[in-house]
Amino acid sequence: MVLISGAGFWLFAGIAGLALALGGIIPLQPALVLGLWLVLGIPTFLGYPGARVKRYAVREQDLLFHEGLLWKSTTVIPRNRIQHIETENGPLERWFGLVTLKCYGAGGQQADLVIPGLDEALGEQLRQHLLDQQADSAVSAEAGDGDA
Amino acid sequence: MHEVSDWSRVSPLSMIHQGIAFIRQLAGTNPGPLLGLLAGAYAFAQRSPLMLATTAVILLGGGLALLVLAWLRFQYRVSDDTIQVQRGIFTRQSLTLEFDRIQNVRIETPIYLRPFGLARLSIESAGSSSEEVQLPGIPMAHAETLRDRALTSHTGTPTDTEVQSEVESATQHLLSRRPSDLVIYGISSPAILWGGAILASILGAVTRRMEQAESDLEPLRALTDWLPDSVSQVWWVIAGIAILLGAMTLFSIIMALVRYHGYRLEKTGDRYRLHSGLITRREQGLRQYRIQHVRLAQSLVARLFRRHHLTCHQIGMVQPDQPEGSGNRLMAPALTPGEQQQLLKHLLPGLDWQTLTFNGVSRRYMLPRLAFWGGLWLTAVLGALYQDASFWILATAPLPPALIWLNWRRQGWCLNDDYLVLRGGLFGCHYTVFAGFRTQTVRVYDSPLQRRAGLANLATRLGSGGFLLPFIQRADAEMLMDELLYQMETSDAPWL
Repeated sequence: MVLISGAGFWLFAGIAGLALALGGIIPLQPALVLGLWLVLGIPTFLGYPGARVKRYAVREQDLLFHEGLLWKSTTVIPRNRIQHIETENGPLERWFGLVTLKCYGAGGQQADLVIPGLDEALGEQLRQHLLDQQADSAVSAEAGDGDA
Repeated sequence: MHEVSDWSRVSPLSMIHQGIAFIRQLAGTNPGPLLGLLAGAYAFAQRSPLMLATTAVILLGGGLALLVLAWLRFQYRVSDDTIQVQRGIFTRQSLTLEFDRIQNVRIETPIYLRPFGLARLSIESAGSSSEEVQLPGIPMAHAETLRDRALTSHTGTPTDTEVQSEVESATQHLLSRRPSDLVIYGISSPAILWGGAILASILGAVTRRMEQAESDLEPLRALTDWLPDSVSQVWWVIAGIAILLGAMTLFSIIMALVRYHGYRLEKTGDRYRLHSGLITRREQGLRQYRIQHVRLAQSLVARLFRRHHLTCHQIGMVQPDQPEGSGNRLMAPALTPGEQQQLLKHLLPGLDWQTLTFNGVSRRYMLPRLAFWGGLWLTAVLGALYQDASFWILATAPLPPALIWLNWRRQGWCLNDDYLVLRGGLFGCHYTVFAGFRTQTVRVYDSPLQRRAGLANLATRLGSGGFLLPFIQRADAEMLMDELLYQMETSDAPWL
């Protein structure tokens, strides 16, 4: 997914750059342009292996997300700390039938946990599952916390 | 409590407040252009005074008309469990705030409202700070009843015993500040930087105007002629910096004295109440269970006086463009060790500050910083060699490593039963303390080099902000993550 959105741009940019350099329109060595293209494109080329290692887990009490090829990170948000959940899909994601699930905690602007590239049905199911559990715990803890 | 009052207006004196707020906003965000505008107006006035006078009159009249309109359009109504506000001149806004949702209530009495027994009530609802409602110019007694209603409507839900205990326990006086304490706070607080920023922007505006008007340079030239030549340039720079520092310190002291004059911190039951302010008297309230994290900071200067500044944070983003102690934070400036211990006993029950032992972070913490500053320094040296400029830059080589070492020495953490204490700083030292169950998200991450050395970083996020614990042992990071998750998932207490 990431690969496609990035690669679409970089392939085009690379070809255009090479053509311009070979045609002598921009005064740069074609080899230099190629090198620059390769270096700048690294994040995009790593998109596929990067996406392969993105993993999530739903446990009884919390939601985990793991990512990173070299810089690895694990994020955990307990279910009782999730304030609201959002699913999002852009035009490209819609085309492939994917959604991005975002979990927000309290007091922040950004999502605390983002799971990209979920299958649409699965994303909806996961969202519903998390919401259901939240509702359960909210009912049991009603008296405890009225203003969360 | 069954009153559904009619729509009512605030006192017309609130127009003063709105006008002052507008001017302050204009001057506070960008004093440079304002000064330029004034100077330009002065120059213009010399040429055609009549034009200027008419423009000024029209502007003033228009401003006044807008203020009156805004006042007429601003109405509020209090019903059983909500406050409704209507406002706006061109686009009408109507806002409904439920008492249950109110996070924070502040009563302020600016000097121009005090003689009339009026106050300004600021209400923040849960969520963003932009959703703040201000009722400027309502009678003091009315403001107090509104505040009490807003704050007690929370207690309806938690437990009845809590309410009872509140009735039983009398108001307890916790802390007051003498002017000498405030002077120390003024000298050592980060507000010094504020004063510096304002001063610099004013100076910038002044010099810009001076450059524009050649004739204005005459007195300056006279000044340089009058000064003896024997005094070298270096001394000039040093004297200039010293004067600037002195002015900043003075400004900071005055700010502290004005802001925290008559400081009085009280505790009733689980509620803290803080009165302070010379020109504008403010009253801030905070409930014990709403405190997200407590920060104890000691700058280099404060270290000389053996004082700490303490801030209690509650939910809400920390806005970077606000000075310490504003908004919904509760500030206790310049605490002596004794006062600090006494206050911490109330704020963080069950935490024995004296017995804390801190774990340091790995030495490798210094590596990326050394690499960054080393690279920067090397570029500077190469640049200097190329331009064959002064060799002063070579002498600065040991400075960054020394600072990095100091910073590394300060990093530390300590897990004490329910509390996690983080330590950081450079010359000074600051501590961040929060109870584990207040955490919302935990993240453990590492870089390839850290992984080889068996290290990891731990990032936590609370409702009041995020904190990072860098370069600790992987096992420690995982232990901390598990511990925090355990506390979050087993605690029933409201964490916001």
